[in-house]
Amino acid sequence: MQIETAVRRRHSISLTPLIDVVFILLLFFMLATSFTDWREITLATGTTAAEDEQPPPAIVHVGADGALRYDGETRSADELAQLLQRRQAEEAIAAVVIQPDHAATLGPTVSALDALAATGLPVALGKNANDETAPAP
Amino acid sequence: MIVPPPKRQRSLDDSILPLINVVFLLLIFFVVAGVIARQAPFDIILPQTMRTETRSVPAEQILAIAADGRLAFAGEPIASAELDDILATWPEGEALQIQADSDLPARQLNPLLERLRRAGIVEVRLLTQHQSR
Repeated sequence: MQIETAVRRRHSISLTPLIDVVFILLLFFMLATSFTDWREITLATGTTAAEDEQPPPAIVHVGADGALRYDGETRSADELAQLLQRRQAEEAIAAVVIQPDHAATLGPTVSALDALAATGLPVALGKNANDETAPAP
Repeated sequence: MIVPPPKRQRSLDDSILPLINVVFLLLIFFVVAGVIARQAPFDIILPQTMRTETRSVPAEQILAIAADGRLAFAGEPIASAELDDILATWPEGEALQIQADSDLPARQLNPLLERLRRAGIVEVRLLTQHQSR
């Protein structure tokens, strides 16, 4: 004799297909999401002209190995930030221009932009001094 | 007559319910906490910054530059010549986001910025990856 147990049969969605779909969604979101902490640096496209009466900008060269040179001397980023802040207080410089050397890559250049922007001085990426006619990438 | 409820069926459902609960929680966590990353058609290692505070999220219309200078716009690889057509339709006054590989020679960025300037783009935002000290 078969007797139905009435109370337990309430859910109409069967769980196995549901959990299949949920697993697939989970897998998708796990693979597609990124938890990178992005920041952004605003680059001037070269439309701002310096005013004439301002003191000249400090030019910081970035070498291929990532070394920063200012005034012919290699310095660490922190040292350089302090020095440039002093120079700004003396009103000897009004801005900082980061000038990457030929073989310098973007990584160290952006690090320099990042470190020297902390001085509060306007920091800009320098124009290529001697290869203006270089082909566009 | 008292009939005991079928044992097997109940124990299976009951053990699956906590599993579904946990999976749902994980799903909600990933949906809420993460950002769906738009992949460029090539690998890009973003330059790292430590002090820059301006937070950002990659936009859909992002210009990607590989270490060897290849370009991609909105996830699609483009030839250098196609860039001008794309920039011609760029809305006036809107900032353009770019993501460039940290191994790209820094000087290659300047001719590109010059092109962007000629196309009337006044603001370029370079995407970086934050690294805590």
